Amino acid sequence: MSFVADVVRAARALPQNLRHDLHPGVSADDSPGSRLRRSFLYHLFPLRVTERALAPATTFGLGLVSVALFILLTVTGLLLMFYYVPTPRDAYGSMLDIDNVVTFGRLCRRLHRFGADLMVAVVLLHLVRVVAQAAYRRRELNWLIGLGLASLLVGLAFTGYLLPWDQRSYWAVRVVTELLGLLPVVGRAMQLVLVGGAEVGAATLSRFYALHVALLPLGMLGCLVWHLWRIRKDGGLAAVEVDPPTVAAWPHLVLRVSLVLLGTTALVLFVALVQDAPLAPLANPLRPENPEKAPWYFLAVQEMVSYSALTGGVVIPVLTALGFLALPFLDRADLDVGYWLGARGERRTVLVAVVASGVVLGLGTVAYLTPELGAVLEALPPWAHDVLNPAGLMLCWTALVVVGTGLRTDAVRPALRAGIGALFVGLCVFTLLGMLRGPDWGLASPWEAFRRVF
Amino acid sequence: MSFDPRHDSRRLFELLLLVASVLFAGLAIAAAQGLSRPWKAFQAQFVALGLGKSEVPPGIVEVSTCDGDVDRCTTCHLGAARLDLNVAAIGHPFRSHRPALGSHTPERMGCTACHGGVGRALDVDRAHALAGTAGVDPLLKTPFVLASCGRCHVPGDRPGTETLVQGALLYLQLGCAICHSLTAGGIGAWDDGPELRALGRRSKVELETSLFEPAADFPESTMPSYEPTFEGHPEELTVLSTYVQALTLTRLPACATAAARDLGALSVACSRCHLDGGPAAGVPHRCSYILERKAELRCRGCHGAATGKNAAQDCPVVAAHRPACVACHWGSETLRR
Repeated sequence: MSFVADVVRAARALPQNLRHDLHPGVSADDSPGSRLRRSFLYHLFPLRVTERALAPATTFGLGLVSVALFILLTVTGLLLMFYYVPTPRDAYGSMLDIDNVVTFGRLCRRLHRFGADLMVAVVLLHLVRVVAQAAYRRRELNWLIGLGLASLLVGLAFTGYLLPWDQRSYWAVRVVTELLGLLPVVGRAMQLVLVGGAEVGAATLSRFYALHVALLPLGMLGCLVWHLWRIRKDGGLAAVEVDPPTVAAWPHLVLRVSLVLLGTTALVLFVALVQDAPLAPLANPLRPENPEKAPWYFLAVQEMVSYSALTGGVVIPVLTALGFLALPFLDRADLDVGYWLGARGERRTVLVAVVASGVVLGLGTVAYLTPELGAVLEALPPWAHDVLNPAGLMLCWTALVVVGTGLRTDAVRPALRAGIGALFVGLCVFTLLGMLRGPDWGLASPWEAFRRVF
Repeated sequence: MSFDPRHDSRRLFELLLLVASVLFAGLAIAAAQGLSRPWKAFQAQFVALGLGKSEVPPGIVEVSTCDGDVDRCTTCHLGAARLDLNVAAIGHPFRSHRPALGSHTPERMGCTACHGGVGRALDVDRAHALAGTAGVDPLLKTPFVLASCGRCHVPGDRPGTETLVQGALLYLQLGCAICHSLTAGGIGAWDDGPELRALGRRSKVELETSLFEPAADFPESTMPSYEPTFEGHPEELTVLSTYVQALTLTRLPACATAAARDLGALSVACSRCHLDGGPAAGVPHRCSYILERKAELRCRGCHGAATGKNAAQDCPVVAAHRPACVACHWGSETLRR
């Protein structure tokens, strides 16, 4: 019977022996929590962080929320990959199977869909935060990495949009790839590379799938690690104080990070519990949707292109992209970096400019839609249509705001901020208007538009 | 900024616990939702009736449909393929299908080819495309299910499609085609009504509402109310609604090429394949409308004289009757040209 006693003794001692064998040299009383802290968290976080960095209103945790969503999207995306079939013939059926037969498939798809939409919105707000705090100063490289991440994210959201292969996604991708073709010189080539043929079809789906599950996520992971590493290398959040008060990262930072990660997951889960992820009928290349609409993050461009392909599809997107790339190199002041909208006088000027932009662009767009003005504009020569429309108004108004604010404050930063504010307000107006578009791109009631979205 | 780390971190930890418990509660609800299998209750009920050939619930039952998809309807409709359960005592979902199936059995065709709905879904609301599943084909029941004949058949080419022929004739007699043209992309001769094929599926109630109160959906509509027309003729209303329903249905790929099917296209006009003397050129004409009016159309006069393959299209008599042709051949682009 001594054999049995030996086995029992060995089994009892197993946890202790395992710990000893796996971590030689680590004492048994060293708790898992403290090891986690030492070996993982202190490599991820600095030892101490400034008190200001922990205050909620400093960043609203927007960057961290995006990281949380990236993790959520990666996990749910990997699960969905097991069931999704990327061919036009089977894609829609596999979506229905994920929704109806796969255990927790419906939940996964909802989390993935709403997580993606939320991530685009949150990253946009993160960008606004960085601009409003001039946090790109002395962090030029990280600003550029961030812009790269934002483009990768939009690419991921857009390539994922096609995968259900339903009417809505099919025609939305037709719209956006045609918008892409409007770009000068490279547009047609980019469109051909993306679509893989004359029309959106099997080649497009396999290209979008490859981009969505491999190329773009890997690029995003790499850039994300780089982005986070640069934050550490650049000395944490952008700030101007010398020797600010600090606290230990454990537990103060770790608690807040955990709170944001769990809170974000809980939020997306809540939406996924009450709202179904949209799935329109099977894609039919012979029966166009009316209206054909781009996903909401491209809706402003589609709305502007409906006024003028040149102004809305080429001039404004290209100027915006160039402006954002050049931003940290145009604004050379180190004053008030890390604070919302800087000094009080400048803050008021920028806010006034943004509010005025809302009024001017909102009223201008409404005026443009009235039949009286429409009749007047109709009589003008064709070239005038490229300028005399809400998109042209936004372009001119933004230029005016930049020059006006610059002259008034005699500084570059408030001028750039006011300009970006005007642009942002204009794009919001166009996105809202795009959401209200009904059949034949006419205006529908908000209720109709709401019903179409949900 | 006053900052008391100890007090602050205790409060935060409590908040963290709160958020974590909310998250776990959400996950528990999600687990309950995700693990519910409503169809199992139906199968248990069926087993309890003692009608099954075995006492074991069959699990998820899949049937391949004629268009290469999968229907799971018979997971709950366990008696649909059997002939012995068509008795009043047995209600839905277990009753036998009406015996009018002919060769259109669930094993051969699936269910959704005729009845619409979402064949892959396994809960009642989604499978039957009830409220909240907008944009999906609604379920078609008797007598509207006859509209589905038009997904594969040209009206009049088979017995059983008489309703669609009657509907096409009503459509012409009532002058629907004057505004809701079936040619030239829906541009009417007198006024432009919306092209009915582009409207997508409408339920029976929606179709009747738009006939009786055209301004209900389109306030600027100039269409008169057809309520007096159908007063005392409910069967004609049913026939016309069935025909219009048929117009809005997608065609099944019975006549689509494999390439078009790969595009995911279910509605491919026959003319895509049978264009200009394709395989259909040698098929004898079965159209009841033409056969009835053979003498009137003087086909022989044209076909005897013309040598080209498109003789029928150059024929002025056929051109004059083109609206009538399209009333049945609504998928055909050859006729629309």
